[in-house]
Amino acid sequence: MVSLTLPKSSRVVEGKQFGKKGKNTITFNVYRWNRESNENPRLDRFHINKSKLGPMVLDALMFIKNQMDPSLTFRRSCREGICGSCSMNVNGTNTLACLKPIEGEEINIYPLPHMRVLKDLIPDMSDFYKQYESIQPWLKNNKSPKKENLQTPEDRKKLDGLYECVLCACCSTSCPSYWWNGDKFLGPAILLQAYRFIVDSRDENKKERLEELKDKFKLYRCHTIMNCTKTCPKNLNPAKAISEIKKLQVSS
Amino acid sequence: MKIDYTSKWLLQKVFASIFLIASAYTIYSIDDLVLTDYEIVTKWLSNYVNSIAIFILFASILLHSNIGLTSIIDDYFHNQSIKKKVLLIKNFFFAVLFIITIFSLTKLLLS
Repeated sequence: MVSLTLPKSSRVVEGKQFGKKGKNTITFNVYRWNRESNENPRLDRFHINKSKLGPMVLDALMFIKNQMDPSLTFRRSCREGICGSCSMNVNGTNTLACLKPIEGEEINIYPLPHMRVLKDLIPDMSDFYKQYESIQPWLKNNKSPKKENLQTPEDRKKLDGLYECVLCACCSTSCPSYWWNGDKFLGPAILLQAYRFIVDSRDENKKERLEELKDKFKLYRCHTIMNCTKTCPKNLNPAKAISEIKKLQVSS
Repeated sequence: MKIDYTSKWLLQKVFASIFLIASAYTIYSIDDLVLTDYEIVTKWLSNYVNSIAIFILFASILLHSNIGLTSIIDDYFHNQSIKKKVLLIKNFFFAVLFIITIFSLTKLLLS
């Protein structure tokens, strides 16, 4: 059975306070956990003057790391929603910290839900990447073209809304089905990527790819909850991609 | 072994559609019926068309919820041994309901 309560050692306790709460401050409640210590996860509170902050949540995290607590750990790289590194849960919604504006007086920041945490805001993405590898995310065809493999504009258009995915895992980790069956269900991000290769006119492996997904768990754990589409920081629609795969399964 | 779940997924949608059509027909046809009068209701059910409509309605409900419940069990039961037992109980429960439906409708039809 699924576990509905957290073990005692995983319960989040009150953490440290940094800075003082004032008239022009914003409070950032940040999840902290270090696997090397035997302590429970804690919620540190950082009170920061608004005038010192940039516009995005990632700016605040970088300010905290540079000015208040250098031990705070999180992934980040491009700062413009291209690399997908800074995915985390901000105010209850999975998003990219670099694309999330600072709004309100209090902001809660947690790592992506239902993932093993390595440290602070860093989840273990290895299972996610293994699942990505399992769909063989590269073009497969038996031709050995001597020149560039061109597509018609219509075929190219089919990839719009799919190729933009940065594999941040915001959608997969917002999906309750992925929470319960993350080891067997591929999740929205990987299924969107699978569909991206299924509809690519340059790929000749469509039948085999569909056959591989024809599984009770890999594909059909999607119950059209639509959290994936709601949360996607790139405004993509993984739920639609999944339903397109299901349609192809029926028609093929 | 990989299980082809596509047909089950499709059937669940088909049964849901049949259920909607059958319930629309039932609601429409019982509109003028005095449901508190046992004689009138049994007379209505002894009509072949109504009886078949009710059978289709119940069958679609049972088949749709059978697939749906199996899916829920697949979602939340991770221990294979417990899962098998729960599936067995579920199948038995639906089989009993199905037999009761057929028995009751046949009895009304032949009365």
